[in-house]
Amino acid sequence: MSRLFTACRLLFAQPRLGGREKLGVLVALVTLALLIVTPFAASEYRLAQLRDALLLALLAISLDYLWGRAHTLVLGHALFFGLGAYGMAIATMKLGLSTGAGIVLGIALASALATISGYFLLFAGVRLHFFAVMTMAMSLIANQVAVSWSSVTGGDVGILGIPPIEFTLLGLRYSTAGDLESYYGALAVATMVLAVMWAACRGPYGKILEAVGTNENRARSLGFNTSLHLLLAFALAAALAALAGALFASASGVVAPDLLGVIVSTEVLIWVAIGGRGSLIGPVIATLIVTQASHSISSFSTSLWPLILGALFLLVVFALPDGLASLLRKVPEFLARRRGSAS
Amino acid sequence: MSGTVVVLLNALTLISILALVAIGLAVIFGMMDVMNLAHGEFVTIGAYTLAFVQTLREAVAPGAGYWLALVLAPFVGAAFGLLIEWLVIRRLYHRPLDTILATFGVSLILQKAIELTFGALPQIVVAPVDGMVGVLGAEYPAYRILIIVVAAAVIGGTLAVFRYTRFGVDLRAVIQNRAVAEALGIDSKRLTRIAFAGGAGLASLAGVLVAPLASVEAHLGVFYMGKAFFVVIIGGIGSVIGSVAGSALVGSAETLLSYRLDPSLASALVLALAIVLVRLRPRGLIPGYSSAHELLGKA
Repeated sequence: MSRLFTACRLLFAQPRLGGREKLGVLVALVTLALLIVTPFAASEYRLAQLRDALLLALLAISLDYLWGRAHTLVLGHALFFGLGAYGMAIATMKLGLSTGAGIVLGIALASALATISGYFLLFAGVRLHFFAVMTMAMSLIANQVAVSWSSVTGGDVGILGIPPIEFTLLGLRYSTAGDLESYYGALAVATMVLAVMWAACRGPYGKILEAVGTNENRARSLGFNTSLHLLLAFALAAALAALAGALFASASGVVAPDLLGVIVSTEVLIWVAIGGRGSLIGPVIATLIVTQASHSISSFSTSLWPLILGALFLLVVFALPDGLASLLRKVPEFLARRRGSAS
Repeated sequence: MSGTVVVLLNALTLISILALVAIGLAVIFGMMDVMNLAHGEFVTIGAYTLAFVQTLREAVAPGAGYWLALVLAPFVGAAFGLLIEWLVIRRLYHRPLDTILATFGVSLILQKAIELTFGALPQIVVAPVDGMVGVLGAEYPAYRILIIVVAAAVIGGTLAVFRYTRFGVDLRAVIQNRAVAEALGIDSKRLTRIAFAGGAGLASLAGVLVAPLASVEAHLGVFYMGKAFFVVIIGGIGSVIGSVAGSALVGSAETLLSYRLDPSLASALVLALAIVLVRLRPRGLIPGYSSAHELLGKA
């Protein structure tokens, strides 16, 4: 037990705050402050959109953990999000359990599927584009199953009327039925998850994942069980995605097969890619901005958004491989060079 | 007896379509480590070529239009393939994960562009032959027999090109070892471009063949592409025979399971089978020697 504790202390040791991290923390704190005061300025409708975006940001964090740190791209990440959502819906509406049990069921389903499929694929040496495509295939088929297995999943319509989360803590009753409560609840969860993931990944553990992702052979020869590390990361990311899905299902009250499908997977990819892989806060901010943009654009033309999405993929690949976060670094460098040459 | 024949022919129909779609993917992957997520759109383009030719009712009768489209579609698909290769993929050969993202973007744009051009409603296409024919004592739709015959001829032709022509030898050389092939004077960039266009053409041909059986919509190709990826992974990267073997396995498993189970559950089981097979035979049923294997850490 004490050895495990020591191992964890070494693995998650916190280094001193570096220069770039300071900038990231500053950006995160400013964003948090803005989000805390938003309810005083925004309409109820906007607030609900922002709450959904905050829950989707959890999904972006989980993909960024896999893709940005371990360099393991998952094209069907919505699979785990959707499993979490369906876990919540089935537990509360079909089995008559509490929302807490719904979260547990969703997370258990997603991490079990990730562990089993990840065992076969990752330990067989399936990596990179192969792995990405296999996860995409899994999400496509899960979508089909959700449509056709209507006795459990409600078919095309999905499941309606999922209750909000309610619990009593220290004598205080909390319920996400109210708009304001559910918004602040989502904000609190997103902030906590972001802080925990950031703290976990900034130390030696993040370095190990980075090593496994960038040069697996070298990491293996240094004695790391690389497949096991990837499998753990995959299962953890799936669990986090499922948590996001379960909370999302409870907040919006409905689940539908779309939640498992290509569209959600595509959007989460673009959030992470635009926000900047591996920066955690970048994808969160990108999620907030891009979802709001997509709502505004879709409100006057529904066919425009997929075109923009496709163009954004090409833009990210060709012009901004490290996302908008790299602009934060590049623009000051560029300005400094201008100033240097002028003087 | 006749029931067995029908099952067998159903499986053969699916196998022939899958193999046509998968060959292009497998060869491109073997040559350049590029996984083209826009490959399914070539199937869609083929199906829409047929729909478009058949809308020109004044000029050609629908039956004749079908044959015209069958000849035309591979060229239309190949032209789109060349365009995509030239605009996007050739710039990304050394960045495999980025290729996935870029081709994903291309696929989204193509799907939406097709939907905007032709409208969201399914297109109407007609088969050139209808009615049933007797095969070994069983009655079977004539059009499906046509699919099997055309696909078998084209796949046989592709295999022959790979096996017996200079071009095929060069292609296999690039798949086995690109650096050495280039050192021997093979222009691998040109070959890749031709192979890419050829694969796109085959997928478009599959699109024409499948169109009268399916609902011709902008998302048509996604379904076949997802399956073609299992086929390539099960069958072996960079191998034409592997693609055919993989299609045979996936197609027959899926057809047989669909008789007993819900079709989507059947595809879920086939996927599970694919995942387990990857663990047992990581290089595929019939491996084509590919640099991709080094990339995956199993040289």
